[in-house]
Amino acid sequence: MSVVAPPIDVARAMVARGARREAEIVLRGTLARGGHDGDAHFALATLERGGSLPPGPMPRLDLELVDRWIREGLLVESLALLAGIDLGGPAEEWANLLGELLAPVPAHAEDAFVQMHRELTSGGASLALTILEDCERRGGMPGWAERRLSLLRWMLLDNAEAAPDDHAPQGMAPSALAAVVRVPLSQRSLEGVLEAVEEYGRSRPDDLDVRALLPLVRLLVREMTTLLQMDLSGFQTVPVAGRPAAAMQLRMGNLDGAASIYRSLAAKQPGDTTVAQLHDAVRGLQRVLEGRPVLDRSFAPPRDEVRAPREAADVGAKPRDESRKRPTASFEAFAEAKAKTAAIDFDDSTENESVDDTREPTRSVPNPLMVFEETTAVHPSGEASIPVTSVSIALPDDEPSEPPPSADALPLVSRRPTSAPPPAMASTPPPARPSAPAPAMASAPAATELDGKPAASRARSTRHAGAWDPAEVAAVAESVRPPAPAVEVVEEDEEVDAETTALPREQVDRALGRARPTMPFGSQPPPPPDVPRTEAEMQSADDPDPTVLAPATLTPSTPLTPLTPPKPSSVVVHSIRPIGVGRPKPEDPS
Amino acid sequence: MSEVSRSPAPGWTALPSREADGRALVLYVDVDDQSWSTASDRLRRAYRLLRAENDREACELVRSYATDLVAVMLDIDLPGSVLDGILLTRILRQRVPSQALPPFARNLPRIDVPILLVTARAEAYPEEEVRRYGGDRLLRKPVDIGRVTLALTEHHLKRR
Repeated sequence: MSVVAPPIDVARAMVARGARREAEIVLRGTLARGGHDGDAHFALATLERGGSLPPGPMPRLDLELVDRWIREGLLVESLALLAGIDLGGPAEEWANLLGELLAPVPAHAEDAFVQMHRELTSGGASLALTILEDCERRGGMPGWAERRLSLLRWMLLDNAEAAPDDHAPQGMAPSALAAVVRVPLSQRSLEGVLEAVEEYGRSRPDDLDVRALLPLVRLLVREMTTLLQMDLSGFQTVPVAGRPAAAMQLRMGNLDGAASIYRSLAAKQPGDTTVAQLHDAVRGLQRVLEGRPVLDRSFAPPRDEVRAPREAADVGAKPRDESRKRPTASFEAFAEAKAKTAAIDFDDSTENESVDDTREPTRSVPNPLMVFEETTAVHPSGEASIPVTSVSIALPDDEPSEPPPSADALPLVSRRPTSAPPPAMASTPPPARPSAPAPAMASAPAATELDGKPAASRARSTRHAGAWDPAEVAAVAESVRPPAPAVEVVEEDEEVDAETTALPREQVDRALGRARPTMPFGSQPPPPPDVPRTEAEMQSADDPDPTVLAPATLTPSTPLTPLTPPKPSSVVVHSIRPIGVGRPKPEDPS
Repeated sequence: MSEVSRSPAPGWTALPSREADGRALVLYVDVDDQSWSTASDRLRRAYRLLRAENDREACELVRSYATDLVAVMLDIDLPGSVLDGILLTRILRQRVPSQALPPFARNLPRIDVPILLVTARAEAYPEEEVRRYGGDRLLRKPVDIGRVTLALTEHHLKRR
């Protein structure tokens, strides 16, 4: 059996022979049939851009190729090939017949004919034949449609005896029953197969294969007859795939194609017993042609066993035996471990361990309802790093009454330092923070050790959602208050990722652009500054707008200069006055 | 060349008549009688041709059969007519303002079906120009049913 040349290779050969436009139509027809052929899509786009196709095989362009394409339903491609390349012989006649067959239907034709034409131009020649035959059975078919039906029959069916059949088995028949089946099947007549098998069975009533084959062939004939005689009058879109497509393959005598379709259908619909039976029937017929028993008794399971849901350990093509039903030792261990891990106690992991020490150790899962507390570190020096794993889990002591507002929520004026620093302080380094830990921090229980590490930087536990202990906060604020302009209190209401915690706090704040003004907790907002800001200071600032606080100028160590209302810029007024009107005299400054 | 054996193709029991019998309707505009006769003989197995000999007749037939047409075939050279095939194509695609048209060509319905331009001098007209003016394909005379159908099929495949 020779392989039909792929259209993209044929298109390449056509381009090489100068039929570029027709090669584009070949690729367009391929896309209309397949829909998602990436290679054809790329090749078509390349040709439309004026490019050349990538090198590849170039099959021989002859009538044999066209003949195979027509019988495969590649009608548009065949017509393009015939129109682009002069193949001689009956090529012109075939082109005219294909042109007649593929011609558009009249503008006001029935929907069935419109659908038929759509199928013809998209690779559904078999389905188009079905539609036309149905219209013929209903009667009243116009002359042009009758003509196309006869053409389609000739192209797809009537040449079965004359043309080589790709699907017919070659060589000697391996058995007498296979020889009986072969003849009508090569004529693409499944009804003939049924008659031949029935005739053969009458002379051999005890032949088990014949008795097994007869119901299978009857099933296939009934399926084919039923689907191909269904009423297509109400169709808007005729399905090309599925059981109708398989029935068309049966009608064409292509058992491989039908078995492939039924196999894919059975995989998609495991519970469809009809599809499974049809697949088994086709397989039985194929086995007869191969000289094998109809029913593969070596490992064919009973029908009900096949329909049973598959077990996890019973997936495979090997014969089924009882030993496979028993779980293996590893499977038992896995099942036991799975059963244990499925019963994780969320409350107490130690209880789990005490119940059974032999089972697989499970990880403690914290109670999701528990309120997380976040450790807030107050660093006595700027070089101290924030511990990464400083989050501990504890129940809250009491509920917060009202969280204090964050620095961002404070009014702008409250971000000012408590006292206006002298202008020279803006360029001086920040004052040294107390290096010794504050007494309140030293007495805190969590300050001794955090996460198993000595507390280089003391820490204090506070609740995450703004649950501050006022007394503790006041004590900490008092203890860490620096002598110079203000005390920096680190707030942890924003997330600090692991990378930034390795940096000193000042660098972290600069990197995140969230410099905070320094203001001790519990203090009142400072009074508005009474020192006016000079114009020279405004010009030297990065931000010309004095009402906007630039993050770069608000580092904790950089105090702000007092703010004054901006002076109005000089305004140039162009005035137009009537001629003759005197300019007002300027007043004498003296 | 390999031998391919096929049974004889079925023929028409009786050739379709020139009257309306349900075949697809195509407007064919050509002055030359010989070209018309050849095209009619070659295409009538699948198409019913309406012939117009000049631009005025073409516009009248377009007004009458606009909804029934499946294609329009125009000869590029229309001697004796005001409008040639290219200009008629632009008019049928409504790419020419109505004020610039002769009275008989005004208010024509827009034609969306394929427009095939036919000529005996195909090498004189680049196909890109034909497409730029609204045409779908340039066919060399004499036309045959295979090429006409292929051009119409390409049009349908492009629109999907």
